[in-house]
Amino acid sequence: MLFNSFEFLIFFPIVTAIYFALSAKLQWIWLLVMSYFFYMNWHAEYALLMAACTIVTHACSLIITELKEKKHKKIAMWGGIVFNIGLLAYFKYTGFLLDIVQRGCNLLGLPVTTPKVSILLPVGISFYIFQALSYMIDVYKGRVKAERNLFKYALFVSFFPQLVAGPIERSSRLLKQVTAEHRFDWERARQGLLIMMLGFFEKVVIADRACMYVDAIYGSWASASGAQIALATFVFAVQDLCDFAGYSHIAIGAAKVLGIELMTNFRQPYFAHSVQNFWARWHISLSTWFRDYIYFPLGAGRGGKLKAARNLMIVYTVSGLWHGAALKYVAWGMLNGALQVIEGWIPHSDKKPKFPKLDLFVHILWTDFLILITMLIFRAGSLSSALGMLWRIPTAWSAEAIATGFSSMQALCTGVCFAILFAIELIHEKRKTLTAMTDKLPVFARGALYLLGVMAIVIFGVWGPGYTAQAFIYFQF
Amino acid sequence: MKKKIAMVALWLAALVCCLMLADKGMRRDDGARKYGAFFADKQGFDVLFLGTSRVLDAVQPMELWRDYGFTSYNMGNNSEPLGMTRWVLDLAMDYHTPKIAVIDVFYMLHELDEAWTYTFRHLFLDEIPLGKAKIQAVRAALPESEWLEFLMPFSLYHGRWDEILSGQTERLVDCEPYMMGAELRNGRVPRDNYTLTDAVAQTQAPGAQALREIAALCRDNGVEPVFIALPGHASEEEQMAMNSVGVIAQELGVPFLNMMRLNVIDLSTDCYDWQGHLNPDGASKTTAYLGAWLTEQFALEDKRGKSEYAYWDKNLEAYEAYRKAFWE
Repeated sequence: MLFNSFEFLIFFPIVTAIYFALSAKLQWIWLLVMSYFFYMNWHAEYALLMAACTIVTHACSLIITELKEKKHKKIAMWGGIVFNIGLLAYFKYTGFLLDIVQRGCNLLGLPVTTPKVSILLPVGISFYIFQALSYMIDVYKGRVKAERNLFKYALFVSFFPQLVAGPIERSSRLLKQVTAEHRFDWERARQGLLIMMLGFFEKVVIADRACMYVDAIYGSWASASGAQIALATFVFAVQDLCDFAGYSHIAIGAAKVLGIELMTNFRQPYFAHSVQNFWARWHISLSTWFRDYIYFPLGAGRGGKLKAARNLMIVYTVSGLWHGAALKYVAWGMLNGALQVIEGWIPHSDKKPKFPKLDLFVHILWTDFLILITMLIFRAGSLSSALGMLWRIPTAWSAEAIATGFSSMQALCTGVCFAILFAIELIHEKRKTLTAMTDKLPVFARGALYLLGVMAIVIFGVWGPGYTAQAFIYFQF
Repeated sequence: MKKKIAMVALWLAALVCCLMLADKGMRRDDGARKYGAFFADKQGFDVLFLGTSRVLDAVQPMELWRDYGFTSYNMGNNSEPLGMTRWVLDLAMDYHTPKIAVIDVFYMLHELDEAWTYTFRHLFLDEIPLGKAKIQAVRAALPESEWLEFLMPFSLYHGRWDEILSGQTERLVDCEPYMMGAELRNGRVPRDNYTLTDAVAQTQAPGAQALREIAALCRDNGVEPVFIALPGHASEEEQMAMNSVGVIAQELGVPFLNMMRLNVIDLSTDCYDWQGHLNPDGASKTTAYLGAWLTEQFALEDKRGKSEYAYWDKNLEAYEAYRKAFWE
């Protein structure tokens, strides 16, 4: 079930209404049942995978708790990790690994042809497996106590708002919240709905409209001009943000309505002043996951520059692989790691710049430029296409018919939406919130503003017949 | 608490109003121009003409009024399979029950589920308010994937701001409310005469079942059904399918007027396109013949001069002025 579907518009109010009508004992059970129902809307049988992941990590965590010897605990933890990573590897990487084997053999002159496999990737598998693994590792590290009730733990793994595309939550935050009693709160519901509205605006109005242009140019990049590729890459950067941050906002808002606080997943990433800072603002729940469960155990920045660089490269290569089973993702991850390594090596002056705001602005522009290059690789059909597109930008530059595929009205609408998004991001960057700002308005003005927001989404949103509801980009990861 | 509930209810009511306004503003106006007069009429109609663009272009209700004095409405629509005509008639009879329903059989060969014909069904169905009858018709006449856009047309039209703001709206039918559903199309494309065939299709055409249902529906409602093959170009296969209507009509006891076999029009001057749709000259000839035939067969009352039908005379003035400016 997509958030931007009619089914969800019916599902969510019903789930919420019944949730608040139930007693504390039944509330979490209702959420668990509805979370599985939500997931089973795609491929019911894949709920078994989620259940298997849940049962194994739960059992391993209990075993870890019961065992005395650290060595034995470690074996139990690794058992859980191997099982889950094995699941992920089978569903996500089998085809990729076979392809790599074939390419490697062919490079060595061996005429090997590996079989072509087509395994349907279960939606959100990378998200719930990482969430379950974080719980199990936290139990092993003694950061959290193991949850004895399998079903309560199952709700932590499957909680529907963040199930298929995050934020990847930690058990220390989410487990207690999802199983606690929640009573309806008008103010909280209002805030949650406003966050959801922002998410729908980002996804349905901006991301899905931007997607039309990006798909058209990236789909025929060999005949596109350099200016078109550059513009499409910029538009894709906005689309990717709005698609993913849009999902996160809907998830955070929906959870908030139910009384559950999820972590912030995006913090104005395109205002980052360095690539490292970008990753502290983009998909925060995943970045912090890699930091806590890979980068720190590897030794983080300790042991000299080379070791720190190695650790960063490992983390971002794994991050690339997490995003997709293709060489372009590996290259994308490695490029992000390399840029941060280089940033770390560049000596920083302790002197305050003469014009700090201008200095910051230049840094932001430079960072966005670098991020756009990585985005191009991320979005391109393959690594070779990405290289071809990068080559075409300077060599086939022509600003003629740059907005091909868009009518002037659609181009205007997209431009206005981008400007609105920029204003919203700027407000958030200044540590203000839209909710707090609208709170100052008289109640009727506020109501009118909300009405305007909903109508803008309904009228300018890309939804309904004629358009296939666009799945969120991160569903595939 | 009560205050908050009242505020939310008020806000939701305002939202519904805004959605209704947006729905009205975004809709195509073709349906209203084509069928608005039908739904607004208080006196009812003696004859309804139903079927494809053949009937849409060939039968002019205002000329029937002028020359024969009976009231009629042209419900014909582009690319309408007979399976859909059955539902148009069904829904139309919720508003007006005519004395005669004239059914064009040109689309005997077309299945109800031919996706390219769906767009035009919006013209009629969008004018029908959401209710049990409409839901039943949509479920029967369209595949599940299309239900949403027909039951909730706003889901389709909300994206029309683009063409409305840029003034690039296109008309699906060239008709005005005073034309009582018919359209006039400007053009003169000479067509070769076709070879008539007497052969009858041996296999049952997709429209056969629909014709049976239409006949039953008419009889249940006290309406006299008439099947008609209008003049115009037709392939051998299309003619064979239309010839098979004669057999069905006989079986059902329904009159069948095959105008393909009558030299009413001149294909070299009376078509506006290569498909053989009729221009105003062809339409006038066909309408005149049909009016005379219907009057003779069914003794339709001449209502000209009756005060309650004065608006037909006003519409006729408007129609004639339009036709003159448009064609003559």
